[in-house]
Order: sequence, then C-alpha cells, then structure tokens
Amino acid sequence: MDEVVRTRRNQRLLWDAGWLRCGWPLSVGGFGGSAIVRSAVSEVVSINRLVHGTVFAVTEVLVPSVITASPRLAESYAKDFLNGTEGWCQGFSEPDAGSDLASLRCRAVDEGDDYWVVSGQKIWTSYAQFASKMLLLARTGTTESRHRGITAMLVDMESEGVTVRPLNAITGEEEFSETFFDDVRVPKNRLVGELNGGWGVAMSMLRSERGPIFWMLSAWVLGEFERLLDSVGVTGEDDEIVGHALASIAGLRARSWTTQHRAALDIVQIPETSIDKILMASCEQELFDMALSLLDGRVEFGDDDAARAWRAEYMYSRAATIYGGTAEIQRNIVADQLLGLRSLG
Amino acid sequence: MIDPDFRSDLHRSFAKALNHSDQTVARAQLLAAGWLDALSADEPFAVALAFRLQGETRRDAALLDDVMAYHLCRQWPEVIGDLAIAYPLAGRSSDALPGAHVVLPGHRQIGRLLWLTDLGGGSMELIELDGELVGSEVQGADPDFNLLALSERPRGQARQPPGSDEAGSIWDEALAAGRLAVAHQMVAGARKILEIALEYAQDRTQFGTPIGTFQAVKHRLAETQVAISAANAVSLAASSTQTANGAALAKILAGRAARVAAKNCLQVFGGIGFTMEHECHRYMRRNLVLDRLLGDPRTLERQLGQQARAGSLRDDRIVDLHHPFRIELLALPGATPV
Repeated sequence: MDEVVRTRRNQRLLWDAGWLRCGWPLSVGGFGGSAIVRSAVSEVVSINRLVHGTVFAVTEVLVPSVITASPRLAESYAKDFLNGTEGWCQGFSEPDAGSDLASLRCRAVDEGDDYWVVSGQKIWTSYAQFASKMLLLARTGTTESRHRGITAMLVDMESEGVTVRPLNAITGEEEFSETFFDDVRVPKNRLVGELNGGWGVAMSMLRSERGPIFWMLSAWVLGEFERLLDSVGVTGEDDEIVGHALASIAGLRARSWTTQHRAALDIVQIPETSIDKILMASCEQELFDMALSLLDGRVEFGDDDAARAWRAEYMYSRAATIYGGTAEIQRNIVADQLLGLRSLG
Repeated sequence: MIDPDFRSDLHRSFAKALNHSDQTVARAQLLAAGWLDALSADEPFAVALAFRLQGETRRDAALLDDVMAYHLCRQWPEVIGDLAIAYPLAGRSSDALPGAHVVLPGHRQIGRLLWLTDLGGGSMELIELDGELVGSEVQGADPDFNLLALSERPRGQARQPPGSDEAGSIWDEALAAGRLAVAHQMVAGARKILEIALEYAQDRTQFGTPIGTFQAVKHRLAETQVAISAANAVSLAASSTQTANGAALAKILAGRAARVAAKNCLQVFGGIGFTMEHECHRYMRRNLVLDRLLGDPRTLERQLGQQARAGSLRDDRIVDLHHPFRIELLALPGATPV
C-alpha cells in the first residue's frame, strides 16, 4: 500500500528532524518529556496530512506498553519502529475470539530453555503484511484460565512458520490480514511483561491507543469536516446538519483534551477511555454520513479519484464501531465499570 | 484563581445557600457567601460551581443575571449593581409564546432591568423601573421555575449603552458567558437524572434480577453517561478558551445530554417515571426550559453551520493543548465519573 510507504518515509524524515523524538523516553531514542508533547506533534503532523492516521497510530498503540512491560525489549527494538524503518502489528483477535478476547487459543508452548513454540491463528491484523514484528497475545495457560493464562510476546514476522494472508476489506484495501503460526519459535527473551501477564499488557494498550492518537484523530476528523465543506457546494439548507456535526466533533475533541491532560498527570483509568472511543466512533460515522448526503451522489456513482477516496473513507468509517472493541463492548465497560453496574452480577 | 482550601469552603457555602427553597433567601446567602467576589476572582470556577449546584438542586438564585451583568459592565460601567435581565424568547416564531421576555424569579423585586428586543442585542437599554415589575406567571413546561413573563417593555427611564457600534459586542460577550453558565447547569441536571436512574436500575427487580443487569438497560445508561461526559468536557473547554463559539457549543451539547438523559432514563424508570410524584420529570422540565434560554439548539447549530460554510471557522480548533486545564473543575457536580 502506497500509504504505508509514504507514512514511513515521512516518519523517518520527522524523526531525523527531531519532531517525532519529542515526548518519547531517551531509552528508545527519544528526547524525553511529557507524552502530551507527542499529542501536540501528532496533531500538527495529521493536520498537514504527512502520515496515514491508522498506519502512524500503531506506534502509539504498541510502544508505550512495551516500554512499561519490558523496557529492555523496547530499548533494543522500538527505535526502528518509531522512526519508520520497520512496521509492527498487533496480534490479538482470532476467528473464535473477537469481542471475547479472553477466550483466545493461539498457543505458546514452553520448549525448554530457549524458545516458546507458537501455533494457531490471528485475524484482523492491520498491516501484518508490511510488518517486521508482531505483538502477539498467546495462550500459555489452560483455555479455562481465560485472561489469567495469556502472555504477550514480540514475534519476528520473518520467523519460519509465519504465514500472512491479506484480506480484502470493504474499503477495497488490503489493510488487515489473517496470520497463521505453524510451530513458530519465539526466543524466551521476547516475552513482553510477565508470563501469564499478557492481559494487563493488552489493556494498557487500549489506554495508549486512546491517548495521543485520539487527539490526533480528533484533529483529523476536524480536518475532514473542513475538507468536506470545501469540496461540496453547501448551502444554507445544510447549516443545521453541519452545525450538528461540528458540535459532535467539539464533544470528541474536548473530551480528548481532558484525557490528554489527565494522562499527563497519570490519572486516567482504563475504563474511562471507553467514553473517548464511543465518541470517536459515533463522531466519525456522523461525519461520513453527512459526507454521503452532502456529496450528493458522488459516493454512490462517482469513479474519479476524489469520489473513490470519499467512498473509501465512508466505508472505513463503518468499522469505527467494530475495531478496537465494539460499540457494544464499550457500552458494557462504561455501564459495568464506570457506572457500577457490574457488582449487580 | 481561588485558593484550593477556599474553593471547598465556597462549594459548601454555595450548596448550603441553594438548599433554601425560597429564592430570595438563597440569593441573599449566596451573596453573603461571596458569590460576586468569586465571580470576579475566578469566573471559570465560580460559574461552573454555582451553576452546577443550581442544576443539581433545581434552585435558581438569579445568578445568570449576575454573570451577564458582570460582563456587560466591563464596557458599560453603569450596569454595575443588581439588575434583572428580560431574556428575549424569540425563537423562529415569537408569536407562539405568551410573553416575549422572561425574568428570573430571584429578581422579581428589582428596580433595574436590562431590556433588549432580541438575542442579537438589538435596542439594548437599561431601565430604571418606575414601579414594580408587572408580568404574568409562566406556567409552561416547568411551573416550579417561577419565571415571570413580560409582554411589553416596562415603563421607566432608559439609558443606552455607550457607543452604538459597540452595543453588539458588549452584548455578545455577555451572551456567551450566559450560555456557558446555562450549559454547566444543564450538565448537572442531566447527571442528576442519570444518578437517580442508576439507583433505580440497581433496586428495581424484574425476572428475578435487578434491571441494571440487562444489557439493554446498561446500554441506555452508558449512552447517557457518554453524552454527559462530552457535554461536561466541552463546558470545561469553553471555560478555558472563553470564546463565543465555545460557549454555544457547550450549550448545544449540554442540551443534547439533557435530552439523551431524559429519554433514556424515563425509559429505565418505566411507569413510575411517568408519574407526577417522581422527580425525574422535574429535572427534565427545568432542562427543557433552560435549553430554550439564550438561544435554542437548532438556531445555535444553524449559526455555527453558517459560520463553517462561510469559512470563518477555518482556524478554530475548538480547544488546543495549550489552553489551561483546570483539574479541580472535574470534581464538581455533573463531572463525576469523568
């Protein structure tokens, strides 16, 4: 995908110029400082359309958790990922473990002193075909142990026994893949966090995902809103839905603003970020629903580049309520963990 | 900014004052507790605190008039002192309304009135009233509010704001401050509805289990929390940016949160919420009325849409990371859980 190449090239330039090193710890090649600086930089990077949001976002999803869980691994490998030399991907979902992630079955068996041997399948792995490493969640306990028997490890995608089969998404892009593991050897020093501590690593990734990335995405949504108004002949008749969408975007952006500041103070509880996620998804869908209406047939009938691009974005926005935890799972989390309804049993 | 210890003192004394059902007593106690000093020392905190308490208690101590007057007198010093504002109700068609203006209950016995024909600030004047304010009781959706409707401009000696060119900008600044205050009040009112619905969902049992265990009920309550969190965040952001559009956005989202809360929570309450004895409808009613004050949501959305269409929002990022973030405002009513 051209966008992967373009994003990595610009990442490299921005890293070399120092911008992308701001806010990352010295141990991974950064300049140190608060993560809020990363939020600010990624916003500017996004406004200027220098990177593809979801390609770029993977660094923010994976690296903070690896730094926390396995500082030594982060020190060895994160820099090349952050500076665009290579890509990483996230091996979580499986054909039979989607929303019920804790039922995952891809197994890692302890084969003596040096290796784990991994067998099983992952799915919906974004950009797996362009990745050099995968942060994999594997079953190391019994299936009944659920979230307590899962371990995170950093797997080389070039390892023998790894097969990647891209899937064609409804956007027309091969964005995600099925990944098969056939007795793949993973060195023991590639464990991320503790043995059987993978669930905590996975949850902390959710928090990271909704930090600087969401601030960047809120800027992207605002940018797409402006670009839409520039591309279509809006009239006074449209003012009300345009104002309605702008208010929704304001909700997302202000919410993310509070999250960035609270994250800098290290007081964000993971379940709270489900609210950011719900707002992001509903805002993105409202925007592209409006685009469908304002573009007045171009999404449905157009075949020029602009029409194709809007259509791909419209289609992509349909996934906003599915990936990264469905809208339903997010609402369960808000009700159970923020509103206290879990204790009802 | 107000000292942290003093902030909690203010919280206690404001809450105590608004505990009084008599608006005049409540107002007198708020003034004694330092409401006006707090307003000039730290407007973002004072407004968020006082209006969220008004929203939570459904009391009204005419604080909106004070907030508007505080901004008006920056450019129009004669305004200083207690005054009532006759809020124009003109929406798309003013004919449908019993009186074209309303006055807040805490300011019925007042000698000075700010009169203007519409929310654009047209023909704004400060009237030294000849006698008592005469109007009719507004029953409407929220009779508990005790608003007074004025069908015509009361008699009295009138003064115009300085420099006719500036009249619009004097009013616009006050209007934005008022919208933000009302937004804070609606957020707290919506959160109060959610609170009582949450209690009910945990107590009420059907099919042998609390109804709060059903996913359909959970999702309605979660949806409500999300709407409140968004409105809460926008009101805090607008307190920080102090822009007119920020205030309009805060009011739009607070009204949305209030409607989402009323719709979902009334459904969770089932039949009992549909009775007069239940308190849910009282909060819903107050929010319905507040949502109409200082600009109804559709008009505000249309105005923002029109600005976006004209390209005048191009550099408006709504809120930026450099805007000061006041963490203490997250501890106020309507803001927890975040």
